[in-house]
Amino acid sequence: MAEILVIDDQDRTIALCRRVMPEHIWRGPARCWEEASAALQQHRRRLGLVLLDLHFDLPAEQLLGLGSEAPTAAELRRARREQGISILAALRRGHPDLPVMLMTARDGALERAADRHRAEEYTYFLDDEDLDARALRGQVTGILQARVGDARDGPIYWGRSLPMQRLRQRLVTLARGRLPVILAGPTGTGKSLLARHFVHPRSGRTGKFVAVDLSTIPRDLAGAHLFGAVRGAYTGAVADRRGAFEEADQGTLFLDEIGHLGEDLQRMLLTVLQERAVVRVGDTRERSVDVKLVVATHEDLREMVRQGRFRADLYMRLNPAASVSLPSLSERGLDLDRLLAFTVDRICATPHVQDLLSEAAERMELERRGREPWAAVVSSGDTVAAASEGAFVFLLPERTLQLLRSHRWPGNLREFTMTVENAIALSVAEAITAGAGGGRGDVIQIRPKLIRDLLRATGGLSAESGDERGWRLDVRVRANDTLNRVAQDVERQYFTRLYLQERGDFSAMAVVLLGDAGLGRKVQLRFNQLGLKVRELRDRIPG
Amino acid sequence: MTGSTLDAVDGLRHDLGKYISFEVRFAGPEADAETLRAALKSDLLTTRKSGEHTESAWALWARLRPASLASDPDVVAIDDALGALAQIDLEGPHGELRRAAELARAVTDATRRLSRRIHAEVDGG
Repeated sequence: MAEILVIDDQDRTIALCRRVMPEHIWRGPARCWEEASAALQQHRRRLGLVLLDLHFDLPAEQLLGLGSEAPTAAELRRARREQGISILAALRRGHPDLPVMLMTARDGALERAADRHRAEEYTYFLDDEDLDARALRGQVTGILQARVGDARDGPIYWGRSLPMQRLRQRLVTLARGRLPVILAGPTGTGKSLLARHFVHPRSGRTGKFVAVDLSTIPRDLAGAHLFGAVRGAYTGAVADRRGAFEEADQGTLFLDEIGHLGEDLQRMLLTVLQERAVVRVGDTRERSVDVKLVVATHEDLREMVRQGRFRADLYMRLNPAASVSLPSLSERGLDLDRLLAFTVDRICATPHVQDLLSEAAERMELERRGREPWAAVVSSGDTVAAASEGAFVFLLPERTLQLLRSHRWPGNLREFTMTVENAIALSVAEAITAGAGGGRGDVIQIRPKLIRDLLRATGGLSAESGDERGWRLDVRVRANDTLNRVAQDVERQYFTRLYLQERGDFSAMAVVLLGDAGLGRKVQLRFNQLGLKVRELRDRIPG
Repeated sequence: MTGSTLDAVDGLRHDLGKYISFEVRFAGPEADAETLRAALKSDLLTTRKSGEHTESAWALWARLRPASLASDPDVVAIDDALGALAQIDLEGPHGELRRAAELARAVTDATRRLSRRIHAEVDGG
């Protein structure tokens, strides 16, 4: 679903679009630039596309691009014929990257006109004047998907795995609405990044983003922190203070670890959500607030409600039906390589690692590019990137990658980032000590042994927190079953679960089963012997 | 050829040509009788629609018909097609409606041909 503005002095295009593409929100028609400008202002953060007609039958005073105050009849006619191009040029001044589809087929003169107004970027024409409903729909969908694709290339922590793509699509919709959003998911999955860098910018709100981590605020002070307080309300309240709700008015308020909210505060929060107003602690006056509320928790709020630790009415107010669960890093298999490149790059930019790289460069007699910081290039497998002035190449052999890919990452992004940071710092330090040794001085290898040692520290935690109760296997035993049959039944079920968990990666299964990723082939043979079929299980892989 | 003639044929192509078969095109060749009937009524009787103001295909043609090109074959073709369309009962059977849809598309095609030809003549000197 997208929000699409139609700029057209006629009603027929929008009527048709509403009928053939009811899944989108259609705004307009804006009949002239003045109306279009107002609509663009009003819906600016939510619009995914503009459909713009070319010819507008408007009175002279509503036309853009008329050269003189007393235009000739010919000038008027031309201004009407090319009004779409004039509107496009005006629109581009405030919305340089908003996709605009001109409701006319490609035409040399038009393209030149668009080019003259520097309006060609993100501008599309109808593929054919003889468009039917399916073709128009296809073109609109294509443009909108390209837009989503652009967003996909945004902050790397989003990745491209299917679970993350689905999550992103869902959040785009939720961000725009007025209802609260619950972000659930294991610790370290990036809930706060998500609220700050994804939900807030897409909420269409003009106020601030305010984050409060409820697990770090003493319960006695949390009320004043959230709702504000008047002077003398409590010991130490020497002046009136605004709370987080007031600070976030017209913006987004992110309450992390909502499960830590005490019972009194739960009641107060419920009142704020119902009344859309806060009363500062010690005060009686209501102050209106309009915030987009985003709450996060690593706990199961529904279970907390069942146990009586969280108010059911507050839970319902938080819009649990639209709760969003962030996948753990181990569920984001395909994202890992991109995350790795991004993380290496980010860590290498920190002053501490830059100092280490400078020292390594001095030892290896490498040339720096002016005063620019050292850059990092990631090479994986057997291919080593070519030398480049001012850059170090971090080489991750296949075995190192396998270890990173097969780890469960119970601490998620946080653990991943720390592991990579340690690996880089220790590898650079090792390179400084060892010197180039006749090889390329700019290549720093991240050895499997180092990764294994770093991961060992959290390995036990992985087993505990990944699924502390283990899998429940269903074994039906008949009186005359042989031990071999029962064992195979268990083995088959275990292989199936493991195959799904490791997303069909036999090397990763081998790490779990045999402690060696190189034995993937052996695991696959046993998999086949047990009568399991890849083609039958492939479709059951989550995400 | 004058600039006003160019503007006239461009306007004709956009205002009449585009909208006289607008919904008929979207309905597609396999449309059932009721879909086609609704599309034709919309295309022919409210060819231009802006709020409460509507203009039929015949009213548009009367307003936009380029007098300087009265004997042009495409202008004559539009005259003929619109004349034939006026004779068709839009409450009639499916076959009649299909014929009306063809005539509406013929008007669209004629306005395009006319526009391209006049532009080519002007561009060619």
